[in-house]
Amino acid sequence: MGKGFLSFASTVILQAVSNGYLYGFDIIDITGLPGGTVYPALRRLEESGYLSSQWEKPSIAQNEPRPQRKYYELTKPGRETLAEAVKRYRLLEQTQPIKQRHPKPSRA
Amino acid sequence: MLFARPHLRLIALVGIIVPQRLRADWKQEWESELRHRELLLASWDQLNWRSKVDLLKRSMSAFWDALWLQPQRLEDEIFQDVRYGVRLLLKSKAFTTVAVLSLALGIGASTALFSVVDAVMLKTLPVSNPEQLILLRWVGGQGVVRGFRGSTEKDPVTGLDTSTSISYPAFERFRDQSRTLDSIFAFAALGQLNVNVDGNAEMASVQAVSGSYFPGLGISARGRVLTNADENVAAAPAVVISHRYWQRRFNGDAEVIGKVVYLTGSAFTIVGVTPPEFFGTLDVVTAPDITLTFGQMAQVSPRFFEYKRSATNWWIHIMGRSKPGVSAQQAEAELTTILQRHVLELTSSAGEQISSPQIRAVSGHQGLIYQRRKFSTQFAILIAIVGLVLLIACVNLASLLWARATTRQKELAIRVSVGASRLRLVRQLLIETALMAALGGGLGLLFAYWGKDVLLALLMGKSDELAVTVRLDWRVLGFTAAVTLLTGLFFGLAPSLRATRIELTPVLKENTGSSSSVRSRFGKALVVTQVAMSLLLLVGAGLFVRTLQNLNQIDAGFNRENLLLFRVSTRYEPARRANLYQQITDSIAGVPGVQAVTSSRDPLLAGVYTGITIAVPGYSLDPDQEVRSMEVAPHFFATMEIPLVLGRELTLQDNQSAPRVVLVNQSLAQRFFPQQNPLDRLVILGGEEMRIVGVARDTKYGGIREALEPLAYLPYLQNSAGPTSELSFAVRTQGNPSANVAAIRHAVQSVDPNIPVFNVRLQSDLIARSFAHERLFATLSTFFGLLALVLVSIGLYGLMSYTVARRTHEIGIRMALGAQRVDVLRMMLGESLLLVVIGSLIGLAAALATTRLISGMLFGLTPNDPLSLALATSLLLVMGALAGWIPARKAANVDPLIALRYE
Repeated sequence: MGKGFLSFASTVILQAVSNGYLYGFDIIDITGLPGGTVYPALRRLEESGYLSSQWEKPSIAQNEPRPQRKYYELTKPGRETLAEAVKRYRLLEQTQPIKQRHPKPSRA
Repeated sequence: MLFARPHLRLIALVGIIVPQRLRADWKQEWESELRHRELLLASWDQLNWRSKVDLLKRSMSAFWDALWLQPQRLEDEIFQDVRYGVRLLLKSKAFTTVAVLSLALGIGASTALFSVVDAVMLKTLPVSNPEQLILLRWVGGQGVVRGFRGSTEKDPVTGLDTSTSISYPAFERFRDQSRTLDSIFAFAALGQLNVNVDGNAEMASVQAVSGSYFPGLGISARGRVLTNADENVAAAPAVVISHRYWQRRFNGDAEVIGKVVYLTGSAFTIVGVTPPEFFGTLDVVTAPDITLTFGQMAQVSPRFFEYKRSATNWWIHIMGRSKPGVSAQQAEAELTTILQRHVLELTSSAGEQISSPQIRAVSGHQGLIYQRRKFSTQFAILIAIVGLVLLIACVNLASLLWARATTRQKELAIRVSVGASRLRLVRQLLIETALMAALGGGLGLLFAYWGKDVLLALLMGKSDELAVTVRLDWRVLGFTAAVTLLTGLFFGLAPSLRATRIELTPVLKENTGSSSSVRSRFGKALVVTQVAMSLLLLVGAGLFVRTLQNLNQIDAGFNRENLLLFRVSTRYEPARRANLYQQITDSIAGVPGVQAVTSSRDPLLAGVYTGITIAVPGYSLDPDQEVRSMEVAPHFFATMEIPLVLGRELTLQDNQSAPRVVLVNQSLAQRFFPQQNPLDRLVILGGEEMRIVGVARDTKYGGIREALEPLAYLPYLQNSAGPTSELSFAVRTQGNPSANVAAIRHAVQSVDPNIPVFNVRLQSDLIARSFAHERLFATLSTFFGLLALVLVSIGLYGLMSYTVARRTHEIGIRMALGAQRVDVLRMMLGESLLLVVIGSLIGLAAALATTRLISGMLFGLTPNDPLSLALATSLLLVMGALAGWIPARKAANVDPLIALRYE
C-alpha cells in the first residue's frame, strides 16, 4: 500500500476500527464485507503500519473459556491516512459513529 | 465429536497450508473469534442451525486469509536456505574461494572480451542509413600504375594486391562520370601536423575530406559542417574539429566556433564540431582532430597539393551511396570501366599491356577498418582461449560440487530422515550453487570492469590515441548473468540430483553403497576433461611464448639499445634547413650522456616505406625497377652501429655542392652488381646519377619480420629539393635514454624555440610495439594456462581425496593382507597419474588437430612444435603428481585397524 491511495474497502475497515470495532468478526459484521476481504485487508493494513494488533487480556478470555482474541488499533499514521481517505470518499464523511455495543477490551 | 464444531475442524484443516511460523497465531486468531461468537450466540440462545451455518461460512473465509499468507512461506523457507547456504560456504572457505575465483576469472575475461569486441567490431557509423554506404576497394592489376605509392595488402583468397587507397584524379573521374552512385565522397589522413592554437605550438592529427563527405554521410555538427563550397580555394579557410579534440584541447568551450587556428602557419577558422559519437571513417579507433577539405589542403603544405594532382599517388579512400535499385555489381562494373579509362590515359605509350584493377564495392557501414581482417583471427583465438578457461572453471566447479555432494551424504540422509522432501534438498543445494555463481559473477564483473580497458589498450597497441571507450552495457551484463546462472544451475543440478538420490540405511551405516562406482567414474571423467583442456591451453601458451622469444631475437642489423628517436618539423625554406639541422645535431651532441647523434627522414622499423627507381648504366633493367631508399644524415652508420662492408661513411662533405653519392646495402650490391665490386660504380637513382661510395651490412627496413631488401641510403643534404621539412633524429645515450629526454628537448629548443619536438620514443619500444599482439597472446595464454593448471590440480586433489575416503575400508583390508605403505602410495599415485596421462593424450590429440589454426600467428616454429608440446605435457604430469601426492600419502597412512572398523 504505502504511498498509494487507500482503497474504499480498506478505508471502511479503518473507519470501523476507529469507531470502536476492534475485533475481526465485528468488523465483518459492521462493514458488511466478507471475511475473505476483511482479513487480508487487516493484514495489509498492519503491514503498512496503519494498524497494530494485540492479544486481549488472558483473564477475559479464560472466563468464557476460549483462546485470547486479537484486536486491532489505529496507529498515528493510520489515523492520518484515514482522515485523508475519508475526505476523498465523501460518503464516509457523512456516516456517524455508531454507539459501541461492547466495552473496549482492557490491554493485555 | 468430529462434526460437533465443524467450523473449528475447518480452521484446523485450512491451517495446514499456513506457513509454519505463523500457524499457531493464525489458528488462535480464528479459533478465538469463532469460539467467542459461538459462546455469545449460545448466551443469547441463538445457537440454531442457521447461526451454525453462518459460523461455518465464516470459517471458510479463513481459506482466503491463509492463501494471502502463502508468499511469506516461500520467503521464509528460501531465506532459511540462503542463510544455511551462506554458513556452509563460510565453513569451507578454501572450497568456496577456489570455486568463486575460478568462476570470476572465467566470467570476467569473457565479459571484458565481449565488451571490447562489441565496441570495436560491432559498432557501425553513427550516420544515417549506414547499411547503404559502400567503400571502394580495388583488386588486382599487375603492377597497377607506374610509380604507384600507397599501401596495399594481399587478398587472402586470390593472392592479388588489394587496397582501399585510390588517387585523387581517379576520385574526380568517379565523381564526374558515375551514374550508379548517388553520392560519392573521399577522405584521407594527413598525419600529425603542426598546429598553433592560442600561441601554443603542438601537433594534431589532420584529415582531408571532399566537400561531399559530411553531407554524404549525413553528419551534422555543432556550428556547421564542411560542404562543396569549402572546396573552393577562394573560400575562407575552414576546418571542423572532432568532439574529443574539442573537449581535450578547448575544454568544451562554446566559443570555439569562429576561433582561428594555424595549421603549419596558415590560418583556418573552426566552423564546426562533430557529434561525440562520430569517430570519423578512417579507423574505428582513432578520430582525426581536425578536418579540412581537399581543396584547401594546399594551403597547409605544397606537398599535399602535389599528392592531390598526382595520378600515381594512391592515398585517399572513397566511399559512397549507390542509387536505389542499383546493385553492387552494377556499381562495381561501371566504376571499374571508369578506372580503366583513366589508367589507360595515364600510360599513353602504345602496346603496353596493363591490366587495370577491378573495383569492388564493399560494405561501408563501419568505415575503413584497417585491421579488420587481422582482428577477426585474433579475436577468434582470444575467444577460444577465454572460452576454454570458462569451460575449465565450470568443470572445476562441477567436480568440486560433485566431490562435496558425495561427502555430504550423511548430512543429507539425516535431513531426509527428519522429514525434508527431496525437492527441499535440491532447492537447498541449488541455492548454494547459485550463491557461489552469484559471487563469482559479481566478482567477475568487477574483474571485467578493470580488465576491459587493459585488454583494449593491449589489443590496439596505442593506448593514448584511443577514441573508443569501452563500456559494460546491458547486453554484456545480460551475457554475464546468463553465463553465471547457466553454470550455477547446470553444474549444480547434476550433483544435487545425484546426491539426493540416497538410500537411507546404507548411508547412515557408513556403508559406501553400490552406486558409488558410477559417481566416481563421472568425477574421473570431469578431471580428465579438465586435464585435456588445460593441456591445450598450455600448448598454446608455449607456442606463443616461443614465438615472442623468436621475435625478440631477430637481428635488426643495427644496435637498437639505448637509442632515442624523435621528430622535428620546420617551416623554414630549404636553404636554412641544413644549417638548422646541423645546429640541432651539434647541440644535442653536447648534452651529457649522449654518445652519438644522427638523423634520417624516417626512422628504421617504423613501418615507413619509400621507393626510388634504379637504373644501372650499361645494363638493361626494367625501367620501373625500384629499390627501397632512405635519406640519412652524415655519420648515420656510426651512430646506428651498422657495420660497413666496403668503402666509407657519408659525411658532411657530401653536400649540395659535392658530387652525388650513395651508400647501398649488401642486398642491393648483390642484386645489381653480382660478383663485382660495386664501389665507385655509377647508378641512376630517381633519375639522378650517383656514385656508390660504400656498402653497408643488411638491416631490416620497415618491419622487423620482413625479408631483407635492396636499400639505397642517400645523403639528405644532397636532396635536389633541399633537406626535408621533417626529420627524425636518433640519439644514442649511455644508459636509459629516458633520463636524457628533457635535456635533449632543451637542447633542441635552445637552437630554435619554434621547433616542436614530437613522437619521442625509444627504438627498442618501436620494435617491441610491433610485437604487441604476440606479447598479448603470450601473456594471456600463459596466465590462463597456469590458471587452468591450478584448477586442474585442485580438481584432481579433490577427486583423489574423495576416492581415498571412499576406499578407506578397502585399503585397510589390503594392508591387513600384507600390502606395504609404499604399495598403497604407489597404487593411489598411479591412479592420479593415469587420469593425467589419459587427459594429456586426449589434449595432445586435440592440440595436434587444432594448433594449425594459429600457425599464422607463430614465428619461427611449426604449430606442432615438439618442445612446446613436451613442456606442456611434463608440466601437467608434474602438477598431477603433486596434486595426487597428498591424498596418496593420506591413503598410505591409513591405520588398518581403524579402517577395518568402518563396515
